[in-house]
Formats: sequence, C-alpha cells, structure tokens
Amino acid sequence: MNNKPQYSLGFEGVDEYNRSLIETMLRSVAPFMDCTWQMAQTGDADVTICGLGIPAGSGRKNLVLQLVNETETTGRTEELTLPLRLMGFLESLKHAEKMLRGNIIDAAAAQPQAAATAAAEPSVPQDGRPAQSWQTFALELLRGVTGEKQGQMKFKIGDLPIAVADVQNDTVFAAFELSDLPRTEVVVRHAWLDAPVESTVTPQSLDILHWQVGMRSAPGNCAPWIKRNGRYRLKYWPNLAVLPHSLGQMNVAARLANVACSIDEIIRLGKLPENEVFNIFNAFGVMGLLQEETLERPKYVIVSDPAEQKRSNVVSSIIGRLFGKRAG
Amino acid sequence: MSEHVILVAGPMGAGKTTAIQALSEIPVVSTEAENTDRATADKPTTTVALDYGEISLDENEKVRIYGVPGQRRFSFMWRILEERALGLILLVNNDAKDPIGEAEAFLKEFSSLQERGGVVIGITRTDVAPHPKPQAYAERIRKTYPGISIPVFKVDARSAPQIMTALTALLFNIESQQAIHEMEIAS
Repeated sequence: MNNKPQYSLGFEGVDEYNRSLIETMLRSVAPFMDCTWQMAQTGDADVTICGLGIPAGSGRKNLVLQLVNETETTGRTEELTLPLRLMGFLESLKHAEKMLRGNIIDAAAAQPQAAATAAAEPSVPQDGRPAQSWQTFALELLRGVTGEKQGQMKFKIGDLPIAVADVQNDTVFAAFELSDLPRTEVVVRHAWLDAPVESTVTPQSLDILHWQVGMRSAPGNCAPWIKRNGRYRLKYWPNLAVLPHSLGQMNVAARLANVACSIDEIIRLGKLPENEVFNIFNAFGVMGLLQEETLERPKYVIVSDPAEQKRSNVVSSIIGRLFGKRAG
Repeated sequence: MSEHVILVAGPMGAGKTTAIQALSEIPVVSTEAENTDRATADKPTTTVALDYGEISLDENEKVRIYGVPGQRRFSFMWRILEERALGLILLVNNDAKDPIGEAEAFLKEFSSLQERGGVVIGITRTDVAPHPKPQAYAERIRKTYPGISIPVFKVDARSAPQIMTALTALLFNIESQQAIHEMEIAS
C-alpha cells in the first residue's frame, strides 16, 4: 500500500531513544493505518511531540502531544506516557487526527451567534493564517451532504459578498457566480443558521458550490475523505449540465459511473492531468457521489492507457469530430 | 455518407422539439399538429410524426436527431427508430404526476438502448417543480436496473449548452460501456 500521508509529526526536546522509537513505530504501522502520518520535513508540523519537561506552551499554532512519565500522567489524551507503547501511541494519533479534522469546525458550530457575526465581519486571525481554508469549508459542506447538518449555512469566501447555502433545497443564494470562485487559498467563514433567511438573488445549484470547493480542497492531493488506494464508483452522475467542466472531466465521470476505479487507474487512463484527477475525486467526494468498492479482487482493472487510446469505435469518432469541430 | 441516429423521446410536453431545435444545425423539420390533449400538456400544438434535426461532423458524416412523438399510440415508431439508434435523450417534465414512473416506463420501452448505456435522462421544468431531485431518479433506476449507469441531468430544453452536455454525456457513457465490455472480453 502507498497511502498518502495527510498529517505531519514533529519533535521538540525529545531524547534520541524515544524519537527513534516513535519513528520506528510510525514506519511499521503506517501501511496499515487508514489515516497515515509522516515525519515532518520542516519545523512546521501538524502535531509536535514535546519531550519530558518541555512545556507545551501557549500560543502554539499546532497540536501538542506531551511525553510524561507513567507516575506523572493525568490520563489526558494529549499525553504520551513513558515508556512508550504502540497502542497508546496509536490512540494519541487517532485523537490528534480527530482534533485536526474537526476542532475548527466544532468551534464554529458550537457558537453559531459568534460565527454568524464572524461571517458578517470576516477578519484574518492575528497569526496570519486563514480561519478556514477550502478544505475545512469542504468538510463542513460534507456534513450537509451526509445529513449531519441541515437547513441553511451562511458563508463568506474571501472578499466576495456573504452567501447562503440551502442544503434542504440544494440551492445557493449568492450575488456572485459560483462557477467563478477564486482559485487561490482564501479565508472562508461559515455559520449554520438557526432560522432560514430569505434572499432576493437568483438561486444557483448547490452542486456548483460542492464541485468548486471540492476541486480546491486539496489541489493535486488526496483530501482527507479520499483514500489514495481506494477504488470508487459514482453512485450517480453529477449534474454536469450545470457544472463548469471539461470534456476530460466528463470522460472521467463516465468511467467512474460505470466501474469502480482507483486514482492511479484514472491517471493511467490519461484523460486528465494527474493533479486534476486528484481534484475531481476530491470534488466527487464532497458531492457525496463516491461509493467505495470493497471487493478484494476488483472486477475490472485499467491496465494501461495506450491500448485504450488505440481503440477505435464509432462513438469515439463522433466525440472527436463533434468537439474537434466545435473547438475549431 | 455515414450517419448516426440519436433519438429524443419522452412524454408530451417535456420539451423534445425545443431540445432538438437547440441541438440542430439546420432548421428543424417538425410535424406539429393541433394538440387535442390539453389535459396532458397545455400547449397549442404537439408532434404527431417526427421532428428532425442534424449535426454534421464533416462532409460525409452526420448525426441525425429524431424526436419521436410522446404519445404511446405512436410506440410502433419507437421500435423502428430504436433499432437504428446509437442512443436516446429521454426528456421528462418534473411537474408531471409521476415523473420517475414515466421515465421508467420509457426506459422499459427502449430497453435495448438502455442496456448498452445509450440513454441519458434530462429532467425539464425543474424551475417550477424542483422535486423529485435527479438523485431520486438515479436511485430508483439503480434499483430497477442494478449495475446500469444512466446519466440524469436537470436541463433547460431551450439551453443549447445544457442539451449538448446531455448528448456528450450520452456518448461518453456509451464509450465507457464499450471500453468496459472490451475489458471484460479481454479478461
């Protein structure tokens, strides 16, 4: 297996023995874990393990796991008890993963009034990092897709006007084109509303918002809701009649609608550049369209693209001529 | 001269003639007559034989688009056209009494096309009737025909880009089905 690491782990003041032990444990379990971790290559890790006597400190931007002696442990999940044991280590990583995925969203959801105010008056926190990125916004939209959240959500993307997503009715009320969102990382704020708001702007499809945010949620990489080696099939076709899409993207949709494929297989198909393949899987995930195939032996495996490219049939010819002509 | 046939079918009032007008490169040849069934579709005229439009791919190759009359008394014509057709754009108006049931009935009529991936469903009039949603169609179809992939889109029959998207999805879906079929044979 070759799962893509999603979170990084760093050290501060950890002795050589325990550092080596942690690295060994991580290396040995990583291939078997759904959510993978990697050692940070720079000092900017998602989670820092602090050695004995090194204070976790306040004002840290990342999460901290504190090494503590067995006699001094308070039993908190943020503690790694010495001597280190594999199960305890894994439990701590799981907890850290949950924190990384959820804490920002929970904070906003737990304080709807405060969050609503924040949505109305967005500001970048003092540390300069966006309060919410495309990915955290995508995770919040996913909660609407899975039914965990219902009703309406107010959101503000960068400098664009405040908009409202109506999960119940699959619409978005926005005074800007959803198909024309900024491509760069911007501050995205949101708040679920207690009571529905009325809007005079023309509604747009919620699918467009899901699609656009999903595409931006982890550019060229797997978003947390996609397994690198998972094989997915579309539950049903995305509504491409309203989504801004390329022919390559439609081609990939057609393939995934008919057979479960992995990211690598779709890359081999050669219909989209590699980074766009990741993006389209991420977007389909946010839209709630993907169903993972769990068969040990897949029914079909796309082996190589050239054989497929050579295949000549009437339909391919029509597609080629129809769009060749239109492009010309 | 090589030609490929695409059918546009669906119940009366779903927007078949309008969709063909949106796709066709030539003025559509229509056979409209006074609509004597205003209860089913409140419009002054309806197609009684065929609508015809075409897209030319090059000097020697054309896609011929036939709109078939929606009333079931013309179903004998559906059989004749189905045999020659590459695929079907099935339009269903969402404000009908049982739009999913109507879609299923048409899928049954055009089963040979449907089995080879040659059907796309365009749901019209969703501006006045937002429900059922496309996923409701897709889920019901999946239950009736497990393993069959049929694209379902909300479309405005007047919108050339949206109808063209439906046609393109239809073609890609057929292509994918063929590719998978070949993989199956190869394995």
